[in-house]
Amino acid sequence: MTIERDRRHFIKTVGAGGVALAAGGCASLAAPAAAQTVQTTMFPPVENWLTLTPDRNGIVRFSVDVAVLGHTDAIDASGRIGPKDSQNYFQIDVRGDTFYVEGALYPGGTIPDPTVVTQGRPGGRPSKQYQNVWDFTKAKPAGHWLSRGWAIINGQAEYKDTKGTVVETRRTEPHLLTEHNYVFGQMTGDNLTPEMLISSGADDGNDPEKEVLVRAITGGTGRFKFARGQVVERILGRNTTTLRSFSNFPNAYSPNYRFEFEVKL
Amino acid sequence: MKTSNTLSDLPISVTVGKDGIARFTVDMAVLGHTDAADTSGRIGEKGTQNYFGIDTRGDSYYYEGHLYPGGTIPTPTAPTRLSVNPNAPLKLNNEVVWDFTKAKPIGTLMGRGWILINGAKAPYLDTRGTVVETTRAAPHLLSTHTLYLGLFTPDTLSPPSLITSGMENGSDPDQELMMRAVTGGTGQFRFAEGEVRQERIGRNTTALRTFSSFAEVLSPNYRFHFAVRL
Repeated sequence: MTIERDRRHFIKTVGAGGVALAAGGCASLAAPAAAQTVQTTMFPPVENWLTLTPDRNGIVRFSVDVAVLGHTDAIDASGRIGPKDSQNYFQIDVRGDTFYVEGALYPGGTIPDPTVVTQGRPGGRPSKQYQNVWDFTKAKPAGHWLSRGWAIINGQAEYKDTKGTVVETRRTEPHLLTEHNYVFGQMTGDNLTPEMLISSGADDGNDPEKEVLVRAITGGTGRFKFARGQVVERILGRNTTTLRSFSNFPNAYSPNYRFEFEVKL
Repeated sequence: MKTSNTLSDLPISVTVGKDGIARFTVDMAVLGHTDAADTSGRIGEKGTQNYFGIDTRGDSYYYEGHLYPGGTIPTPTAPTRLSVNPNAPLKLNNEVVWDFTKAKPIGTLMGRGWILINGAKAPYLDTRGTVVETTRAAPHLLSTHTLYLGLFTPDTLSPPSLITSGMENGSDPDQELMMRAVTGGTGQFRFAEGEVRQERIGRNTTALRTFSSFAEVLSPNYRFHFAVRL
């Protein structure tokens, strides 16, 4: 596919305002036969889909979508306070766990909004955010999302100090404290560091309907070399990869996210 | 999602000077039971807590602390010995000055990073036998702090925050003064840039897990003096 065709296809499917791919994109992705009719979008270079026009206050706003790649979810429990071999993260103190995970990055609006209330884990409350809305055949990633950090769930009922005073009780959300790199382009041998933004903050809550996090922009490169600001992170349904850190639980599909940036350059 | 731009919405007092710099202080009591070190990447012997006798670089760690408005934790006045070492010199900042029954926290500090102490007895030599590094006992840590100025609830997963990066901890608690970079923030601090001075203010009644082999080493408290452009 040539770049010109890429651009035409990109404009047709994503458009200036950033809308969901292909009209049927928000249906369940269970049917493999659908893949035969899928046209894979290839995005043009980032300069063509991410224009940075400041408003009158000098603030640039844009969004990107990320589909977490569950097979990259690499957790290290060797520093954990609680039992190291458990995946019952909400019953133990998991602080001390570190992890790394990657995601496929797309222009904002690529991943469709979930519309169908779906059962997540058995016994849990159904939510639209458990719907599997992303099929990786729909588009080639425009970049990478790299995340690493610490698990911060404390499932321990209470902690007391040396005098017997309760100094901390259970806190089961947010789940993670992380640094994100949003890499706007494919990393290759000839292009090891496409331009990027970095954010820092907490990730993930217990109720996907309420899962909105605000993260600090801590730096960037290229057009973002002087960036300051914040980014709002919202969950955006699930995709067809499964999380390694929940390998004991069937069908723990990976989440997608939309990141809405508000930055001064 | 709307985040506040109003400084008076914060649970601390922030004053913006004529120079446009916002200045404020925040106190923090480390919660020793959250002190989670991971020695699996350590250069030196992994089974020891004699951090000053080995090369501990490669250790990562995480801990949390309760945040209070600046001035909440009293300044120490009584020079005190470190609880686990009767021969240690008297130091003001070994006094236990914080009792958790005195006030409810207004937020949480989450610190994480790497240990920097190189206590290896023998110097490191290069491939030609040249000494390239000798012991370095301080500073102890290289860390990132996230200060959440508000309590976590299901509806507020990210209260206003500030993020800082830099070194921490020295070997003499009364000389421990650190400067750290403010690398970002959210809410009222979304465009923050500046620095923070971190100083010790005694100890509290929780015990550090990373010194569990030494009876009770009580956790430190800190005061953070921020100077940031918003």
